[in-house]
Formats: sequence, C-alpha cells, structure tokens
Amino acid sequence: MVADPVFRLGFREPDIDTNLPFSDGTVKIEGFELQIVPFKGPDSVDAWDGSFGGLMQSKGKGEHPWVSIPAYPNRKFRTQYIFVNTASGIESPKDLEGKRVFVGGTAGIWARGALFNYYEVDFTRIHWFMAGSEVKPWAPGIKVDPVPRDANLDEMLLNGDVDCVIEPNVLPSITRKDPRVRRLFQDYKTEEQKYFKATGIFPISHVMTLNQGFVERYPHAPVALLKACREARDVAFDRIQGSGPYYLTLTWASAAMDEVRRVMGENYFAYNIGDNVKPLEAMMQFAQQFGVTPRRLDYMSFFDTEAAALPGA
Amino acid sequence: MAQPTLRFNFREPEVDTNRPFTDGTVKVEGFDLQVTTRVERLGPTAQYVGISADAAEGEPDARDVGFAELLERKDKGDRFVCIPAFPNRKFRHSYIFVNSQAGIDSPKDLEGKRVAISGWANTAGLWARGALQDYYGVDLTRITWFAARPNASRVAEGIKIERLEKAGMAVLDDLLVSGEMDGVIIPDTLPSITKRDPRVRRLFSDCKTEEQTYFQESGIFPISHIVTLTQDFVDQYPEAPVALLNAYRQARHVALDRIEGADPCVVTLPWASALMAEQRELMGEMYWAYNVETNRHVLDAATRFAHQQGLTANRLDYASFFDPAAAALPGA
Repeated sequence: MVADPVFRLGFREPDIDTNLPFSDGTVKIEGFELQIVPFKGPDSVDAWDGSFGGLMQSKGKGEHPWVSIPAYPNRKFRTQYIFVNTASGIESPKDLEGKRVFVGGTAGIWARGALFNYYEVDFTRIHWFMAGSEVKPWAPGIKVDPVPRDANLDEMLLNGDVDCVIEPNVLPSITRKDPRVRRLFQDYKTEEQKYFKATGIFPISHVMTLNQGFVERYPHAPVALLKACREARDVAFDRIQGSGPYYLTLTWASAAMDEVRRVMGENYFAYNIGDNVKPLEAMMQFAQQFGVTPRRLDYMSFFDTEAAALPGA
Repeated sequence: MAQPTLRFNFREPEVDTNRPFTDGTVKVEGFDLQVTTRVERLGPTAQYVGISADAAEGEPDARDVGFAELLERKDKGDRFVCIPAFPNRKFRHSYIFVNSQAGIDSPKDLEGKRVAISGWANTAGLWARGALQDYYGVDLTRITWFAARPNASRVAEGIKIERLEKAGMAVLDDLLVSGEMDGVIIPDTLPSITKRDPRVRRLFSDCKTEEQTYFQESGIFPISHIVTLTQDFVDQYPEAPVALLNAYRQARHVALDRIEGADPCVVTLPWASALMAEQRELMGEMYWAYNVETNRHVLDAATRFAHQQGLTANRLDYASFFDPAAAALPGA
C-alpha cells in the first residue's frame, strides 16, 4: 500500500471556531496525511488561511504562485472595527472628514469600502495614517502619512494623536470600555445588518489558499481541502447549535445563530462562489479603488477551477 | 522541587470555560495539572488537549460534577469539598422538548402526559422541573415519568417513574418523534430539534425571551456543574482549593476574552460580542461569577428544588459544601 502524501496545513488563526476542527484533529483531508504545522509564511506550508487583502496585493503585482479555494474561514463585518476618540466629535461617518484616521489590513479595505461607497465619505478630506509598508496615496487628493513602526495605536487613539483607528483587532481600551474611546457605530449590530441588507456584502477576511507547486503535484488537493473545510465549518456550527454546545458563556448563542440565519439566509457561511458573488465583486472593486491592485481583477482568476465548480456550500 | 500533581477529571474539557486548562493557557499555581478525562469520550480531540489513555486510571483529585448528583451524594454523607467555580450554567427551558402533536402548548399541558428523562438526579432535569413546579405551577405528580433506571434516586411522594428499556439520546429522540413520548427533558439538544424536524419542537418556541423573563423574575441562572476536590487531597494540600479557584477565575476570563476580546474566536456568530454585551446588560456585568456571594440565591434554589422533588431527604445547607478559604476568597 502506498502511503498518502503529506499535506501541511498552517493557520494564521488556528483557534477560531472554523479552523479549530482541523487543529484539534476532528477533521481530516481525504487522500492525504494531514499535518497541522505552525504558519510561518506561505513557504512553510502547503495551504493556509490567506488574508484576502494580501492576496489581492500579490495578485495585482503578478507575484502570486498560489491558488485559492472558495472557503472563507474568517469573515467579519468591519464597521464595528472603526474606533473613535470620544472627544473628537465624530458622531457619524461623514464626521470623519477633516479628521486624522489610521487604517490598515484587509479589515481596512472592507471598512473603507463601506465608508466610501455606502456612507459616501469624501476621502480627500481625511488625513490618513498607515503602517510604513502600506503607505500609498491611492487616488488624486489622498493624503497619507506613515506611523512609526513601534506605534501603539491604542495609546494614539486614547491620547487623541489620531481621531480614529480602523484595524483588524478590537483595541484593548474598547474591550475594557474606557470612556475616552468608543466604536463609531455604537449599535453596530443594527448598522451592520442594515449594511448587509442593502449591499449583500458579508466581508471575507481570509481565503483558504494552496501553493501552486503543491496543486501541480496533487491536482485533486483543492477539492479535497474544500470538502474538508466545509466539514470543519459544519462542526463549528454544530458546536454552537448541536447537542453539546462549546461556548457556554454565551447563553443564547444558539438563538443568536437562528437570528443570523433569518437576517442573512440559511447559508450565510457558504464555502462556494455562487453565494458569495457580491462580497467577491466588492473586494475587486474596493481593492482597485484603494490602490491595492493597479486595475480591477477578476475574482475567478484566484480560484482553482474544479474547486470553484464544486456543487454545494 | 517538583510540584505535586493535581489529577483533574473534566467532564467537558472542550467547553470554553474549561478549555483554557486543557489547552495549556491557564496553570494551577503550585500544582502540575494532569487531565484524567477518558480518551474514548473525546475522540481525536484528546490528543489536542493533551490527554493520554493511561491518565484516566485511578481516582482523580478534582472534578466538575453535576450539581444534582452532588446534592444527592452530600445527602448520603459523602465527603468532598467544593469551590465556588461553576464552569457550566444553562437555562433548562430550552431542553424541554415536546412532540408537536401532543397538544402541549404551555407548561401546565404536561400534566397527564408521558415525559422521558435521563434520571431523577440529572441536573438539567432538577432545574427544569424546579421551574415547572415552582414558577409555572405544574403538578409534577400528574406527569408519568420514564427513565432507564427508575429506582436509582429518591423521589418525592406521588412521583411515578416507569422503566424504559433503553434511554440513549437516539432512543429518546425516536420515542419523541414517533409520539410514544409526549415530552423529553435531557441535558443535550435532541438531534431532531437541531435539524428542525417538524414532528418535534421545544416547549417554549421563543426560549430566549422565556428564559430571560424567568431570570428577571426568579433571579435564577441555573448551575449545572460545580468543581469539587476529594477530602483527602484537601487534607494533604489545604492550599489547593484556593489555587484551583484562582485558576478557574483566570480561565473564565480567558473564555470571555475569546468572545469579546481583541481577536474573537466565534467567527460563525458575527455579533457574538454584541450578544455578550446584551447578556451583561440583562444579567449584570459579572453574570458568570465564581464566588458564593453572587450566587447565594441560585445555590439556595438548588437545595430547595432537590428537597421539594425528593432527591434529598433533607434540605441541605449549601454553605457547608465549600472550602472555607475558597468561599471567603474576595472577587469573582
């Protein structure tokens, strides 16, 4: 008997509910011997949960020896990640005009997409700050300055050095409810549900991605991985709504999941192309608008053809 | 010098409140924690949480036990020591399942019906029956109860339990779906409920509202599991209860942080942190307190229900369960 080939899977986020069933050994990949390894960049693994913004950037540059599958283990509405200084007088998105705003990461692309296209904020009237590596005036009239490499964004917002921070993690001062800062949208749940109903966009943060060389050696790997990701996603849902829930401190998690289904549809966490055309299109549009890619890309060009055509969700 | 080993049997090593122990995030100061949960219970996850097959041999020094089971054993005079750490709490209204054709629209309609349970000493059942009797005014003697081991526990006068040949979850699910049972009250959600089979439903279709109202009116947030240590271990290491309670508080903090902290773990629920904020608003900032003070009313209700339902011959005094130093530890 020939041993199954090794499949090295690494995660940026091994502990989130959608990835945990791989990390804890519950889900395997058919036809492969799965090894969960620490993620230390794309070369350290055969597949990983790639940041969508990073993938856009590399694809735009044409330095992209990778192929993705339509599995999105991390999705988050990003309007809840717009944090403002309470004293800055920012009550609504338009109030960001004339202010100093830090923005970064994939989260920053989705948040800017909403601010620009949905809330119609004039970006030329904002003084932007970004991490040094990202600094780039993405359109005529855009003013961007770098923040120091060791900048503490939480401190900067608390001190009023910037008026607003948009980034992928919840700032510590927000979690501990420091009165000097707050979210732009205090009732972000209502706001994000409204945004979803109006636009159909449920932002995709991470896309499962394989190394091109690995796919050339094992052409069936993308489909096998997609099936395993769907299974892991089902396990994650079952750990909230099934017979023995995991997240006990959220007493009404199961009822909340029913509510999400009512608002966003039965298949709101679909791992396919068909149910995700709007967010995929939106990322192509936003990435071009904010200079992440030099032109508008075709989202189909990211995906393995067979995995993209796999029926189901 | 090597630290003494603390052998802990977690009933549910994977739930958010226990996982920080099994995944190595939280340590018990002064002790080496060894997890003795049986490997078979966990499947592949055992390896992930670092559980080995031989660890389960012998008696553990500490474990999380069902509250009703604890009351039953205390009533019989068993010696073991509790700390006020409650890693599993659930409202049990959501675990009362009925056949859709049984004509059960309100709690009182359960009277005259056939209801299967895991056993009289199951904690979910204790809390569900407590709510039915105490809050909804249901006469528990007018229900015909079914369980696999009808004589395993004491029951109150007039309570009638018939014998079921088999009582695994799949069997109970079939009995309810087919209408052989009108109701089922067990600690886990039935598969047919999860897949929304129209032949069955929850007694309370809007459980969340019902449970929130119940909490507001009764002040009861049911405790399913309590952490206990053997008397021998505490005699040998009197500092163990406080060390374990401190660790439990830290693990609870980690669990909450994994939902509303910098990098949330429950991605499939887009508004999990808003949900948690809503729960704090309703039930208080520290709704998951690991102390005696905040939980007096609930501890008292458990001893009252156990006595009312005949599970214990005496009305027990919960204060006597706890290690005095752990019970007096400030904070939550």
